[in-house]
Amino acid sequence: MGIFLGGCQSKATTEVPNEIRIGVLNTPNDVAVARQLGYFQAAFPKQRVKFITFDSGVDANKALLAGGVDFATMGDTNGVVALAAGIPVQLCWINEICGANEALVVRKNCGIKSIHDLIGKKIATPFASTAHYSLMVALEQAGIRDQVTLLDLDTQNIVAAWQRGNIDAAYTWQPTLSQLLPESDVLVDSAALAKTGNSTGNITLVRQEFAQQQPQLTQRFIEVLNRAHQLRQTDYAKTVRAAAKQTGISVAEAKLQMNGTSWPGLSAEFSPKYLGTQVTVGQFVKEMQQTGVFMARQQTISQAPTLKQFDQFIWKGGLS
Amino acid sequence: MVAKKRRLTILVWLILLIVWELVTRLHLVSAILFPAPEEVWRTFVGILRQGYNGIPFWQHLGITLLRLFSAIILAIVTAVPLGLASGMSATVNGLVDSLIQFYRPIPPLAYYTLLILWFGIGESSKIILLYLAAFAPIYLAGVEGVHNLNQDYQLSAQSLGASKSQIFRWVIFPGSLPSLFTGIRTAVGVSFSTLVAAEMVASTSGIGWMVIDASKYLKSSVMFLGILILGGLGLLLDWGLRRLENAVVFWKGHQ
Repeated sequence: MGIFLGGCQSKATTEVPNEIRIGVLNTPNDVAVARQLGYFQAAFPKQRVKFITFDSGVDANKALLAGGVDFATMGDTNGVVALAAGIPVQLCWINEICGANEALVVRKNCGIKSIHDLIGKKIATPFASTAHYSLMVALEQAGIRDQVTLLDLDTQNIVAAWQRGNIDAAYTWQPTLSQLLPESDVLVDSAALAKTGNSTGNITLVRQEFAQQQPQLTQRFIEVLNRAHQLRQTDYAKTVRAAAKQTGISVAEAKLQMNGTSWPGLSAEFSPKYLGTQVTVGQFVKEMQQTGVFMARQQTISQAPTLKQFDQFIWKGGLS
Repeated sequence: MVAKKRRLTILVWLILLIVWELVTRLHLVSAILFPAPEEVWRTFVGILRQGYNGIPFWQHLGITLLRLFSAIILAIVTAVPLGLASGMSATVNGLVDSLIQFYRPIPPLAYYTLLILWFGIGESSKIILLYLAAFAPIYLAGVEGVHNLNQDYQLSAQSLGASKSQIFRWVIFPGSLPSLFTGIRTAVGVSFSTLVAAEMVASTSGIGWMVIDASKYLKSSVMFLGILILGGLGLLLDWGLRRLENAVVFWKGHQ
């Protein structure tokens, strides 16, 4: 009887879609690995899995808002924007935690030894990114937030502006970082900022409607990505090769970028350390809320969502 | 007739405002896609008071107008003489006309990245982009102005013994003014529509940049506000130019 009822219920509320649309970033992350190794097709044999590449979380958010994708990967700052703007989405996965792959670099031999020496200098970063947030935190910690000029440049333009000598410093990520590194010094990186309670990372958002109607598919989606996280534990070389092949970069480049990040994995993610459990709010979520408070103070978002709103923002289906 | 037209215009805007208010009041569309009029107004008051991204509103408006007017003035100073010269002399025309005809239809965004590489991310690349957009219409208006001039005027002046410079001073230049004004109005329109693109890369100020930045944080009320300001500014600029035109070329339409 129960089975019968359950069957009816699921039939009434859910009609299994024949297509899953995933917004991806062109970086060597877990999505790239799972895609290259065919994990998605294996997990969704009945669906056509469609990948749409976005330049940044900014575009991914617009696509989520327009209902053009079911899942999208982006920096956690864009996730804060999505929550603050009231896009009907939920956070279902942490793809990676940023570390040495995002850093503030300055030109070599220009006398800048510490963040304090940046007073009066021009610093470029892609606005609304995790790097932008990390830069603001670093500047505020040094108390020089209002004494520098910030420029909003995307990563390709950072390289061009750097080569022309238009900028003195940049907070950006790999692979742009390695294009600047031969002639630059690292002042601070996101791993150091994470130690002060300002972690940044890339996250995946799911459309609320999709998560509610298709909890099994959403669960399967994060299991697919978890498979990539597990592979990284057991066979790092294979993981790097797959990521490199998918994103069209060399294995050495992929390794450099991936060395700077960490992939928590399913059991760690749904624990107090990251996304929390049914009863506790995760540390990563708390830090995201702090990010929201910070962004609201910078007036980049109009209002900081509360910790409760953040906790509700997490898709807890991953716990089961 | 004029009063009726004005009444209709006001009516159209009122209806638009009412529909806008209704659509948002009844929550027919999500507030991020369509912010309410009062929300846009609140944003406007907020930005007037506190500025946007730490920069006062007038500074955003000022830098945008500065970029626009530097480009327009630069274009007038160079394109008017070149256009008139090209209209009067077949040699000049042969030298420059094909070049300008070639670059004129290219969408400015197509060469903007090149301009950034050549001139950097500062003000110069932005002003040059707007300048290039403004140059062609004024140049063409100069050529047209000379060509459309009634030949009899020049011949009469010549037969009365006027020198070449006198003919230019008293016949060709004033005769081309109506056409030049039309060209300048077109130029302002074209570079105005390139403004947002010019402020898209490496700026942290300007009304166009405000719209772009707001879109990154999905602040749709700021986007709406920026778009309304740009629209209003465009109307105001065109109105000012028409007034100027009527004052300077008061004989337009009367031979």
